[in-house]
Amino acid sequence: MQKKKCPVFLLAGLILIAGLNGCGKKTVGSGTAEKKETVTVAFWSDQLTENYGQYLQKTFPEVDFEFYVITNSTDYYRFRAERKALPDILTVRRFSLGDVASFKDSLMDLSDTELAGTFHQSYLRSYTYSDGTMNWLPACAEIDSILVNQALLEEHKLDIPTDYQEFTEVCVALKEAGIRPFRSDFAADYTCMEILQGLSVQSLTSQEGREWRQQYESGQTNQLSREVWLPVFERMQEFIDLAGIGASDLESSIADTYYGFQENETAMIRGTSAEAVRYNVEEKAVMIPYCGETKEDSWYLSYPAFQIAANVKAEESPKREKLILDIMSAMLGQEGLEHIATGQDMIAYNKDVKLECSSILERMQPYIDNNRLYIRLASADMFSASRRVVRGMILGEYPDAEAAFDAFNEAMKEDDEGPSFAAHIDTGYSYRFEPEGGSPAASAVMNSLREELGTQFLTGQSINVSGDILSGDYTEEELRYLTMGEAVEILLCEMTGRQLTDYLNQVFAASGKRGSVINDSSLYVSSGFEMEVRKTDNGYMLEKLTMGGEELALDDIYSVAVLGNEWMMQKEVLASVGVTEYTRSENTYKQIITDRLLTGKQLAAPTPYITLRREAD
Amino acid sequence: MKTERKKYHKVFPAVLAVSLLLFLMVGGIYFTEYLRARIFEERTTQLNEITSQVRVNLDNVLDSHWNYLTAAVNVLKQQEFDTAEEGVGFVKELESLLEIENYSSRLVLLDRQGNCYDAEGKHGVWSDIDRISGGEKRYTFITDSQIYESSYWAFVQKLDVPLVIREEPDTCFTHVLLLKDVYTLAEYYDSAAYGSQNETYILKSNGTRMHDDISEDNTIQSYNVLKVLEEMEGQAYPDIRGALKENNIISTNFTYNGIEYFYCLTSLAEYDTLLLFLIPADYVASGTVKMVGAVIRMLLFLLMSLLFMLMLVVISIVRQQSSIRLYRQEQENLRRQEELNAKLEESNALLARSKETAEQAFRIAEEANRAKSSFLSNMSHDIRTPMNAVVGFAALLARDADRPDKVREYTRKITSSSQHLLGLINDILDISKIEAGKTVLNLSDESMVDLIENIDSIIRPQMKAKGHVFEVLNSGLKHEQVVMDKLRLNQILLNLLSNAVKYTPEGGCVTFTIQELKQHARKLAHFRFIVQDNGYGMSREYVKKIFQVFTREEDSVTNKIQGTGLGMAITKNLLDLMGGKIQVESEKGKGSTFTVDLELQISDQAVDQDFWQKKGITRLLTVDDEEVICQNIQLTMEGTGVQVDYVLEGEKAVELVKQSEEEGQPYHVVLLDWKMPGMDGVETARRIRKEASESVPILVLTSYDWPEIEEQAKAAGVDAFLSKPFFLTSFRQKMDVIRGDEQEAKTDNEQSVLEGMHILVAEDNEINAEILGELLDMSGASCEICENGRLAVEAFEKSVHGQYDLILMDVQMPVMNGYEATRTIRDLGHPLALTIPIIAMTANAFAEDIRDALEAGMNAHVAKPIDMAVLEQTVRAVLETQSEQEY
Repeated sequence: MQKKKCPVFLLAGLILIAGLNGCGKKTVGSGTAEKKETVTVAFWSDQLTENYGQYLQKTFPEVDFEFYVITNSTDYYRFRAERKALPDILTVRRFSLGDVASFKDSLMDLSDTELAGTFHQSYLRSYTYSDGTMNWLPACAEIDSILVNQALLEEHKLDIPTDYQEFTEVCVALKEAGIRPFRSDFAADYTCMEILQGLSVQSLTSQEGREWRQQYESGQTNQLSREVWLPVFERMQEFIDLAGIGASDLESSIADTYYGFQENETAMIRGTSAEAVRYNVEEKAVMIPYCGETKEDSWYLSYPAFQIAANVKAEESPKREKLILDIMSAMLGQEGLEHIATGQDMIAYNKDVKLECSSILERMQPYIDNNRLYIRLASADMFSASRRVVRGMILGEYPDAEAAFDAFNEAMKEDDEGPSFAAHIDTGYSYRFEPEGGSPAASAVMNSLREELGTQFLTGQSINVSGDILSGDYTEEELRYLTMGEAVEILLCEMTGRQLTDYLNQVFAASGKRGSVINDSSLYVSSGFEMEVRKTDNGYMLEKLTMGGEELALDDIYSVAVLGNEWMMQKEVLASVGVTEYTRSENTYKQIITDRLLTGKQLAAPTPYITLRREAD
Repeated sequence: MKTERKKYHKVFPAVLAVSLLLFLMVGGIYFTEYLRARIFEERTTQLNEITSQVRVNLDNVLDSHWNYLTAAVNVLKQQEFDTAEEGVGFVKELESLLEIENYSSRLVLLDRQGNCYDAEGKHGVWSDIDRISGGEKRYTFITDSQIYESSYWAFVQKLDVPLVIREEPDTCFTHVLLLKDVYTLAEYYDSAAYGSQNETYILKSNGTRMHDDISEDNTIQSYNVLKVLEEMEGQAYPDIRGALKENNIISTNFTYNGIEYFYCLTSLAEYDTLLLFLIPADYVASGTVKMVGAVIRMLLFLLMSLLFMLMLVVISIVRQQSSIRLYRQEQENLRRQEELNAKLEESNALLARSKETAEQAFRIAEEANRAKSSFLSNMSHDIRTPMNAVVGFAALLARDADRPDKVREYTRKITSSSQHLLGLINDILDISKIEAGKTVLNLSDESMVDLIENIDSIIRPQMKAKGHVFEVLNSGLKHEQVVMDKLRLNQILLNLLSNAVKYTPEGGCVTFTIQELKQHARKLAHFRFIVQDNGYGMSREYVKKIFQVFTREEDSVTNKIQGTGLGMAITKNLLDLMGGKIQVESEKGKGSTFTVDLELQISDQAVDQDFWQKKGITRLLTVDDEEVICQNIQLTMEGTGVQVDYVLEGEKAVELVKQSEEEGQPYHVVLLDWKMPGMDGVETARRIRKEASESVPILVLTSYDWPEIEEQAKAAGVDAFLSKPFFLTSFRQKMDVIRGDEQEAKTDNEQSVLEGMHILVAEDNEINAEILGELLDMSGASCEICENGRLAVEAFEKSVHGQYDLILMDVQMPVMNGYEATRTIRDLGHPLALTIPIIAMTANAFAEDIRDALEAGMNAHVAKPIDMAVLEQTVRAVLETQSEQEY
């Protein structure tokens, strides 16, 4: 179905574009001398659009990369593997060997590659199956712990806590001073999970904790050990009370958290060095470990920034296999890792890579030397259960820790239930970007979103759509895989035609931002209007906007929905074109699309939204 | 067969050489493979042995460390510590006691959190803490500890009961570690046998590296070493771990980056560990390889020697074959040369024959030339002789004109010489015409009887003149009327008969026989004419060339006889023209016989078969002493309805006639031979008339001139004479004459037919005209001479009816020739234009000339010079013909 309908669409698109713009104009890609090798790369986060994607495209100019952003879990890949639609290169943040075992044969075995040989062997053990195969390689380790506003503490004559006792004392003192001692975005599952585990690393790394984890990770159990985990929930419950965490925290975003930290409203937050930089708190933040009973029992929480794997199809051609391995080597090499986030404050797994540490992690070195870096237990079940239970604990849904413990175990069991299809997508759409018309998949999603929002126009980056849209049955969870996993805002505003033009030129030119354009496949999608864009050596330049073939009136005002990261790009860009008033959509992008499909509606038909020309044309 | 044998000789050495080479190659390959397999076996065996030894050593070492650790754990179990520091001190004491440091080993205690306590104090969490968290009691592996800067074999014993620190209740020791520096065990991995060139990989049983020991020197730098090995080129085990399960130790080779390696892999199953040795092939069983290499070199040398010898043998065979081939080629060349020589000889012979033929031709030409010269000489002589006579006697005639006897004598001799000269000229002209291929036959219905009688009349006087007995015989002549060129056939037979006259001494005997043989075709009568004489005869050599032109036999006798040497050639050529044949039989001094065979078309003119019945003649009596003649007559008369009886004597004839008269069945005709023994013909006739019948017609059959006896015979009662041979036509004509006595009498008494005629003569030659005038005058005719055709035409045109009885027309004349003048006359409106007889009178005496004359409208043709007898005969025939046509 998908194969049949795409050409029809493309043909219709070609005819429409020809009618609108006249025939005979060359578009990008037409008449190119040599066909580039196409490599699809699924990013776990749009974070990688800031620098990482650009680095890859620059490093491999002969490759036509097709980027898109997926969810941050391996579930997406399992879903795609079942439909034999995996991308060429896979990246994922949340990783557990048990989560990926079901589609291990769809991935290249990297164990015999020299790339694997460049890693510290001890790090590879958790990626190695008993038969010696290994599909995934980790990028550098991010340190995820507690950021302390050292100045604020000093202001209140408080020392940075070194053990749990001191931590509680500081919290109490801060509360008394009217300062929130600790805050985090409990809307996100990983926050819930990391705080839950981080506060009890001592228990989880004890002999019992280690032995239970091995049993859990090897699939021998999916239930928490009372001996190990009940104290964890007890500590969490204690911490919620201690830190004054309430229902309002469940709605706050990470940006809100950092904003409070920045504004000295909060003394401690969960965070990373990269986040500190991103939210401009690096100067006042110091990262401390999750405190144990003693200073020597404190641990920093760590996990790989992401893992990389490759589609086994690459092995069909030695040339292709080499290209994929070269790209992966670049992704995991010194330069590649430096393009992840801030490129610092991370621990390299690769023997050949040395990354700098900033002052934020100045206290961390003794913990590294003593091997007190706790690698979070990051199975998908653990994420979802942690979010549910921790949020329940914050909301007071459980009378005590034991009830929370039991609830957690229950949550772990629920996942064993089989799939229940909730929707059916009749027509599949290719994500492939065509200079005449753009990406059908991205257009279908963006048009659907605009329909749901009821605005005249909508813009959003194509990578917000997670690759090809496959026809068939979907569970509710699988519907969420259609769109990127990270939270992305929908900003509703009004713009004149001129402001819209300026806005698009700004986002096309944006660099190092969340949502920067990397290449054709990551261009912005328009819904409700069409764009004529010229590609130059300096990037992309908007030439004209049309609506139904008529040039957009620059002074007319239109209702526009902007899909993007508010804090890391959109707010600034909108402001630069004079749009300061906007509202956020009550529903999230992912939810709107999911809900539309759950109600039985289909995705809106794609429309040819862009004509991309080369500079010389 | 020869080609196949040749092929065989060529192919056999090649096949032999190729077979031997193949054998050596296959053998070499087999042997090389065999040696390679043996070397491989030797190498792997050596490797296995050495690796087994290493494994045993390593096992022992590991076991001994376990023994150490067990001892330490046993001691530890009995300890109680108040603080962790005491634990550290205990470790220190124990290491000292066990002298562990001497073995580059150390003892470590792990607490519940994984912190390390060694002789130096407390350290951080052991990096491999997760590896001992599987619930097992014992672990053995290699660790890359961050705490201790090296790689160690770790022997980990989990304590059955954690050792609680009394004063630190949250702290308890759970594990005891014995760490042994990996590199101090290298002595057990390296083998002097390989010159320490082996690489040792310590792997987990799944093939991944046990510890982080990858260096640039490693051949395999990947994480999963076994998988890399499985993908190596030439490696024998696609599933190494599977193979290892079956054989505790495996060895094989592979090629990597162009270098051959051997590896040996063995399992230390107890420790979940694989031990891999990787050695460049050059260092494996190098002594054996060197020895085998030496053997191979030796064998190669032997093989090369063998090959060299083989090549020599092959070369020798090839050369031998080549020699044989060369020899055979030489033989073949010789054979071909012989063939060529034979052909050359044949060619030479052919050339010789050609030369001979050419010489013969030359001789013939020369002979012809000579004959021609001789002929010219003869001609000169032959022409001059009669001319001399003519000129001489003419001169004498002038001198003796007043002497009539001399005049007659000279005139007779001049006439004779002129006739001879005329014959000579005719022959020359004839042969010229024949040789030029211009002679055509002038065919017409003619009577053979007339022909024979004409010949007889011409030749008989000559026979008589030379005193020859001349006999004409007829045998079975049935078809007297045939289509022929009468003139040419006449010429042929006269030639033969003239020769018989000339070349037979006086008083000889010449026989002319006419036979009709059995017909070959229904419409063709087959005649045979035989001229036989008893004259001089000819030599055999001359007989062979008698028909060649210009030939005459050089003979003292015959040379004196006038002859052109053309007569027989003319005869032969004319016969060829007629489709006839001529044969000659002759013997010198005995005479010659010429036999002519000729087939002539039987005339379509119907013979009056009822002639005899109309005349009332049904019985005939023939009387001749020669029975053959009687029988011939009987044969000739078959089919006429006339019964022919014959008797051989006159006496019997008289009786028979008498008897027939008496019986009332009288003979209607009696034929009597003149000369018979006893009673001759005349006497027999007289007797018949007297005793038997006065009315029966009696004819005398004779070959002699009957005028001598004509009077006597008629007196005896003979009615007529019939010349021999007997011809039916002549007989019938005579019977006609006898039946019409008046006409017979008139004919007998008739004068010259020309007498009283006035003749118009066209003749441009004055002499000829004068001669003709005189001759006509002699015959009682007058003439008017015109100098050309035109004048003749005009004269005739102007003439009155009956002014001219005849026109004699020369042919070659100025103004208007004879043919044209004749056509003009025939076209004139003169009453006699179509009927007046015109007779050609020309020197153009050939058949075609006659034909042309007739076609021009003339009635007949006479040749110049004018023979008055011929002229009269011709005129008479013309007139008779016209008379018959009128009636």
